Amino acid sequence: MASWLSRLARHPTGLVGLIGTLLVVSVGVAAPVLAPNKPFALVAPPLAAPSRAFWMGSDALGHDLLSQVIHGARSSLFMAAVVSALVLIIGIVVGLVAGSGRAWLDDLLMRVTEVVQIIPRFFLALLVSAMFGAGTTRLALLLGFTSWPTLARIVRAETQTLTERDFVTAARALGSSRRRVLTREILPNVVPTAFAYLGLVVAQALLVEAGIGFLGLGDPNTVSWGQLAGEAQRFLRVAWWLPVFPGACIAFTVLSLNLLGDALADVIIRR
Amino acid sequence: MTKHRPSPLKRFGALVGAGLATLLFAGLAPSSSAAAHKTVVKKVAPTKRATALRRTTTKPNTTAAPPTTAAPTTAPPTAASTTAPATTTPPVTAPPTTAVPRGGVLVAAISSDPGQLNPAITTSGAVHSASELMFNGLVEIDAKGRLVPELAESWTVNSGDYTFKLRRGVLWHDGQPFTSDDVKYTFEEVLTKLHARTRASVGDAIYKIETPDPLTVVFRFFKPYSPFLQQLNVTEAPILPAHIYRGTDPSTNPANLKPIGTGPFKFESYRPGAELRLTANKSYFKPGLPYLDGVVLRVIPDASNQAIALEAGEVDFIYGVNGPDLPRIQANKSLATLETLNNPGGSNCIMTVSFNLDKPIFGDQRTRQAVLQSLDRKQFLDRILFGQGKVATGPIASGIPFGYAKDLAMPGFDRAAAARLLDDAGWKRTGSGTRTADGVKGVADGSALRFRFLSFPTFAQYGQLIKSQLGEVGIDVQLETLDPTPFADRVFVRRDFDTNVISYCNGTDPEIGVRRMYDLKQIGPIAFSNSSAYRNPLVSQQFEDASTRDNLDTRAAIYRKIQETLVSDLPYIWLVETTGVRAFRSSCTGITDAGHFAEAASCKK
Amino acid sequence: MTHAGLRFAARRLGLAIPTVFAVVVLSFVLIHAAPGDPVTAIAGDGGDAAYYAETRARFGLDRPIGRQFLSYLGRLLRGDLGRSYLQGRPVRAMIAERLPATLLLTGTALFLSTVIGIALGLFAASRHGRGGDVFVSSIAVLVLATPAFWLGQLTIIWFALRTGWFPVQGMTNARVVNTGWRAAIDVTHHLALPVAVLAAQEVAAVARLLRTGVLTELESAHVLMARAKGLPERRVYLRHALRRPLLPVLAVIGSRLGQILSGTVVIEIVFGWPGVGRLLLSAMQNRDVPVVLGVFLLTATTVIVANLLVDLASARIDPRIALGRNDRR
Repeated sequence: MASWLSRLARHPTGLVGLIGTLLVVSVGVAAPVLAPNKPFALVAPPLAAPSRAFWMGSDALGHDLLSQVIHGARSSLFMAAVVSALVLIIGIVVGLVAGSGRAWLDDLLMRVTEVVQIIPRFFLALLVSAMFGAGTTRLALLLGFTSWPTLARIVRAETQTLTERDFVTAARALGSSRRRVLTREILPNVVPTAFAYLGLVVAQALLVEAGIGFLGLGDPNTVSWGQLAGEAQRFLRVAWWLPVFPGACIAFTVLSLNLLGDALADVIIRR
Repeated sequence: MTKHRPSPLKRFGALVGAGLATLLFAGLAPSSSAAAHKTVVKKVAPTKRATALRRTTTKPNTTAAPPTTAAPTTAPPTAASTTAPATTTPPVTAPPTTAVPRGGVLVAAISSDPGQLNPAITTSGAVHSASELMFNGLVEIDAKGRLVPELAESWTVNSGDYTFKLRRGVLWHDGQPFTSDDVKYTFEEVLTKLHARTRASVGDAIYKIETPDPLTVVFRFFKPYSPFLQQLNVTEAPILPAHIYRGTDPSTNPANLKPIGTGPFKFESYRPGAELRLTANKSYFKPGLPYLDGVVLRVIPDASNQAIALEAGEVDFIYGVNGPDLPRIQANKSLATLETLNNPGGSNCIMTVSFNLDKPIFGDQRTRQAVLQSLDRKQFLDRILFGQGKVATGPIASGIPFGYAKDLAMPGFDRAAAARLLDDAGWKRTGSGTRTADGVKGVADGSALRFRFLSFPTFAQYGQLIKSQLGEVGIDVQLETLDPTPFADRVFVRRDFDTNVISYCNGTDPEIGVRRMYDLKQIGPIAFSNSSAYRNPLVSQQFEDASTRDNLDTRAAIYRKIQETLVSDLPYIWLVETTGVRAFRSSCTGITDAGHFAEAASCKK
Repeated sequence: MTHAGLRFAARRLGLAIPTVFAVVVLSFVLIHAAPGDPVTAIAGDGGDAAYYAETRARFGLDRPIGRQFLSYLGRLLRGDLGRSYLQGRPVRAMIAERLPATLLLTGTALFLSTVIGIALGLFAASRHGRGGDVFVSSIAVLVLATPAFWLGQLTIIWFALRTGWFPVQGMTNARVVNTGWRAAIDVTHHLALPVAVLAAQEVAAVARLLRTGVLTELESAHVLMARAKGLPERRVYLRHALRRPLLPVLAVIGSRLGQILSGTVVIEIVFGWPGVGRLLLSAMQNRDVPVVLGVFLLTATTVIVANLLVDLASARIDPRIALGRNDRR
């Protein structure tokens, strides 16, 4: 673990990704201290362009966009954390067990995976937001519990491929138990793929949130990047700062996560 | 027998007015299609608002009013009583004397797909905006709210009976003649069964329909039914061909997808979700009309992209302009705009905040007044509507001249006054936090001054502004957005809400869209009725009184009294009156905001 | 196909049926658990108690939920998806008339994104750590992080409004009714922007997945062997390093299809494309349950079939997948 970290620190893009991710996390945590204004305070003239007073300008109602973006980091982080955790845990466990377990278990798990996978996620998010009311936590849980199938399938496919490989065959020939083979030999090989996929999942979660915001179904009591970006669509030609800053934040976060994921793949697998 | 019928008038007011309220929302909702919403008086617009032609921002075209509306009419003003016998023979529409360019196809954008094209079986705004050009009602209502002959040439009202003389020589699009039998069939078998609003109002009031000859229809009512003439336009009562529909289930008749009507345009083709193509009806009964060869209605769900399609030349006409896009559209020399005071989805709409008066925290008038005085309503107009409308000055919209009351003593924006009122009412504040109760009746001491605010997703910005503004005086607002269907369920059926915002459309008469908001008999499961649950027997009695008076001045005096009570009781907060903007190519003239918006339109090549 | 391959295919096919059933049950329960009365939407703003009762009876909404489910299932088995509450028309017809537009959009996007994604992924892997790799990877991530409705809006503003190269909205030209090959050109012209936007994110996803896979594979023994034998680089990549990483790419085609189908809701709204996504959205808003169920089922079945095909294809690429499973019994 420690050696991964030190190798990561020497990995140029990995370091950038790590710093970026940490930056987003700290902004989210320190939001109330960092933000010059409360997110819902009407402090600026409507649709003011970025200026010394309001670095990111203001929206049509007169909210300070900088403060909204800083506070938005919180709910976006929360969303990312919940979704990633659920996806990683469920996806890896299901994929490993299905890929290396007994045939009936594989069939069963793949059926469950398939059922979850084919329920259109965005449709579901829409349906739930529209009918039960919008809510960030609800959306995060929903996305977490429905986004894992792809990862599970990838992990399963990799596991199957790896199971046939020389070193695994060797390990089994040497008398390693199935569980030991799983955790010691296969899991480390699957983790990089999982991390590479995680950037995608988080990006998708933030984008689903944006899409929901675009369709006017976002949680009105919280500020989030996705929602800010979604609501800004109407103003695309009038106030460039409204879509650009929240969008840049989403891109920055996703980019950092991806660089980090790629670097982790490098340092863990291709040691 | 008459006594035992529920008063249709009241029900009409409630139901129809409610419709007005919702249409607007439905239209604004992304790809609404929301089943439901159509208007009482006018028409079409799938999206935004429209009707009375109040102001044109570009010069020549829009002022050249179409022949139908330009023709002076002797028809009674809409608000006039119909209890006294009155004969009306408005002049037949004549073609304009100046040469009008003929030909060409007008491409108009609509925001939702209609799905089917029979306007008589539904109140859906999407269906009506797509299909009304193909149909006619007996009577039309022009931009100034006057009744204009349509399929009926003239009418007589005599002690509750309405006798219509039908226009001679009108042909259905398939060449069959139009007769009184079509009218009788449509009312008896379709409108009073499947058209939700007409069923609930006219359907209950009507006693029988007689057709003494092919060109005469007599409607007999249980007791005098005054709003009838205003419910005969193509929106409320489009006439269907009996020879196509008789003996079939009108809701599944194949003609619903290939309609046969009498209107200025004939059906050509329909691709669901994409476009509806109409061609000119060469044998239309209004001489010389239509000027266009055809109309194409394109479904463009996104409002900003409707504007872009207009700018790029892909469409010629859009029903509404997004606030942020308006300055750009208005600055564009090749485009014209038409601001309309009345919404088709309901004319004379006021964005209105309801207090759930059943909740103890709103029991004290001082609290409600404090909320009003904490709100800078000008900001709603400027920042949400981008100036499309005006700050409301009372319960009845300024578009109803005899109902509107000037100089009502409605308290203005004053945060200090609001803070004092809240202090007096027992809501104490320390520092800049949320106020807590200290001796408020019915509220436990120490509980926070916090309430929920419910809105359609399309009106979420109202909630945000209210949350921000009320936060300043120590009121914590929790926002919630819901689609129209569950919204109506929560507010009007389960009454599980604290405050909400609704676009209540007043219509052309307080009976239609105002009374339902205050009448104590209209608390309950009917959607978009008395949302606050305001119970004031005196006010209810005054509305009843006003509805039976013939004289406009008498009614005006009563409505003034009612409004004085209301602005002091404050069961609601009237935020802003909303208007809509239509935009079109400035080479096109004669476009109106009514259901037959393209009937007299013509475009230079 | 081998005997084992056939048995594998048959088994997979048999397993797809309970999956479809599970989806039907799940969607039915979910949609009926949601608050909101469909009759409110049908009645609109008016409607009295009698109208509500009649409407309920007309659509069988007055019966217990279990009975409603059984009769829905019964009709489903006969291929009947019911009638729309709102339009009174058969759901199957409503979906069918919109399906070609959606299939054209999603099919093209899926095909293009797979092909281009694989090519770019391979390119990036072959330039690992160098300019080309960094460029492709960064663009891919940027595209992945951009909401589709913005990308759509921006392309409309730049490539339709400003330059006039492409139409702003819809699937056909409103002013001219084309037929034959002119119609095909017209539709292709309208298709270009929405497909580009819909495919862009999938291209990025595929490219990233493949790049990671190829990089891992390049370290493997058989690729090292191939290189040691002195095979040309092109051959090393195409014959040896690409084969196995294609499996995970194939494995996600089913879910990508689901993703693309979901993505069409936003794309169809932004580009005014007359497809199934918009039908679903308005049906949801109006609680038009038969339509929502119908579209859910269609999407689910499409993904199931795609997964089935993917599994069979994987078994062909790597026969051990089919054999291996059987061996382990």
